[in-house]
Amino acid sequence: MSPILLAQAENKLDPNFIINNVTLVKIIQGLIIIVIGYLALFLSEKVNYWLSEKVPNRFRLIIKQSLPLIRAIIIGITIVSLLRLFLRLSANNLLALTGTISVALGFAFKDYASSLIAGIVALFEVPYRVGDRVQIGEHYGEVISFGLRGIQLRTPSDNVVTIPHNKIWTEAISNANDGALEAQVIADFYFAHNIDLDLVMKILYQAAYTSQYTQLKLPIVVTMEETPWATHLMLKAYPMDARDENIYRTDLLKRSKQALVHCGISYPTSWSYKKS
Amino acid sequence: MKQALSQWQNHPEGNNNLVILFSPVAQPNNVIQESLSNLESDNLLHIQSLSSQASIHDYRQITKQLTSKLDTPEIAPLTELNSLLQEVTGTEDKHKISIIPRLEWCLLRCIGGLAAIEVLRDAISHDNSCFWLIGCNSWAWEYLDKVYQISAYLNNTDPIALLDESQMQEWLEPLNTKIDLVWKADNEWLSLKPEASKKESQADQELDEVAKIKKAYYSKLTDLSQGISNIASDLWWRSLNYEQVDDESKKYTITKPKLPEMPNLIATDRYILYSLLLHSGMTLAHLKTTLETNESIVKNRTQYLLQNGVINKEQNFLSVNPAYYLQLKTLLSNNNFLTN
Repeated sequence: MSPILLAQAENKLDPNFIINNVTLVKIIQGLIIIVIGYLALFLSEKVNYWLSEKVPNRFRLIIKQSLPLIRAIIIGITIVSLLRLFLRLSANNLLALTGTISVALGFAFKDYASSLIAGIVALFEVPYRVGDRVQIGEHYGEVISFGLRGIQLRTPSDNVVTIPHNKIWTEAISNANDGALEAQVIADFYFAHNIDLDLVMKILYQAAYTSQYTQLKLPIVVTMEETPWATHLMLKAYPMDARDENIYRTDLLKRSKQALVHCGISYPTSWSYKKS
Repeated sequence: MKQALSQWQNHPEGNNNLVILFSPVAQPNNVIQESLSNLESDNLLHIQSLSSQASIHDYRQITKQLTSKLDTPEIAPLTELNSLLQEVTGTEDKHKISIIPRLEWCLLRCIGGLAAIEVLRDAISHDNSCFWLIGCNSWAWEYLDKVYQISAYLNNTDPIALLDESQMQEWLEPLNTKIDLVWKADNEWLSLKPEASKKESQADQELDEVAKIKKAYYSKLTDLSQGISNIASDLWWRSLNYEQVDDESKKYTITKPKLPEMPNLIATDRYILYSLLLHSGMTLAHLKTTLETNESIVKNRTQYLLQNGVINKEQNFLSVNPAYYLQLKTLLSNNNFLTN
């Protein structure tokens, strides 16, 4: 073995060769980098939120969706700066370091590491973005935050649910708007079997066409299903802003019911079920 | 109109309609009615109720009246239409002409509120013995096209002409003369269009200082109003200043025309403003019906918009201030509303 290779092999085993001299100045520099990184994260989140609420709806999601990437860049720069400060990042050192970290994380923080990697994959595969309305497991809501480890959903009952990214390995992700501003809303109606279907469908279409929330550039459809206890009609339409989903459904139901009652349309009863 | 009438006279099975489109803040009644005010014909069916302020957006009453009038047409005598028909056809024609000055006032965006449009659509498509002259706000037209594909029935549309710089000057100059407006040469007019001033034509260079200022002013006014007369008149009025010279006289000067600043608007304001623009104005009661929102919220926000000058109120009739129209159009379009 040549003297150079021997020296390299010895150096690999020597931790002092990977870690730079730790001085008080370097520790202070490291702390400053961490503080700057934290402030940058905090400010980027605040500015992003403020800006997304200021601009017209058409641009809101674009701004919100840029947040995870901005966060990833800030965290990446912070980590690289810290590593450069305290470590000698040659190719060999990097290999040795990542190997060690991988083993440590694999044993100690398996799920955490899995979530981090899933988060990076989610950035590129995009099963959800900030502003999307998603169903993961039994949780449904708007993605309000895309963090390093997981996302936060705001549910219709105003709860914030944190879900780790590693759910994307195993769970089905149902995304209602997939980056668009609109998400389809379905209003369900149940009627007696003997109703005047033409009249009812006309009322339902008009309810959608005349709602202040309706996105008229997208299709409005009424579909029907027969069940033993009722005729089930589904009014499918899009609000202009997916955030109005619940208020829109309420508006459709309220105005339709008022018109249906006015026209004397009958609803299913237990008696009509027994009879059928 | 002459061309559309002529085509209909020659091909009665063809287009029997002409739709004049205008902006939601325009006052097309003048255009339509002035062009027809002196016309007269034994054959004219003028649907009087549609131009009545009392029945605007009262869709039940409008539908009822329309149905009865279409069954038993009311004949209103108008003279010059007859001669126009004679000019077109060479003979006195026995066809009828029906006029609806503002189609958007025949509807209310609520369940059942479009019934009158259905009646009209069926009448127009089934009765080719009548020519229909219809005025419609372009936003309402876009809306009706989405809901009823109305352009399939009324496919002869003509947008109202916009004013150019010289027409704008010709229109407003008499008013300026009437108030003895003083065009000051030491103000900022000459810097209104710096890029244009660099390329001044020979004719422009020969203009005196006041003429240059006037030219710059009307150019800016046309640019800001996009040639819509109502917006231009509002901006003109806003750009006027006066000093009280003595008890009886005032000295008028004029400043650079500019669009007013838009106040902060929330989502409810946008829905209110879209409704007002879609219907070319309405009463508070109709606004509540069409929005189906909590009454106090509508009232509060309407008051806010009134106080900030975004909307006007005249005899309980709310309408958008023309000066804000172009900004609102961009704002609403960017917020996913169906404009034009």
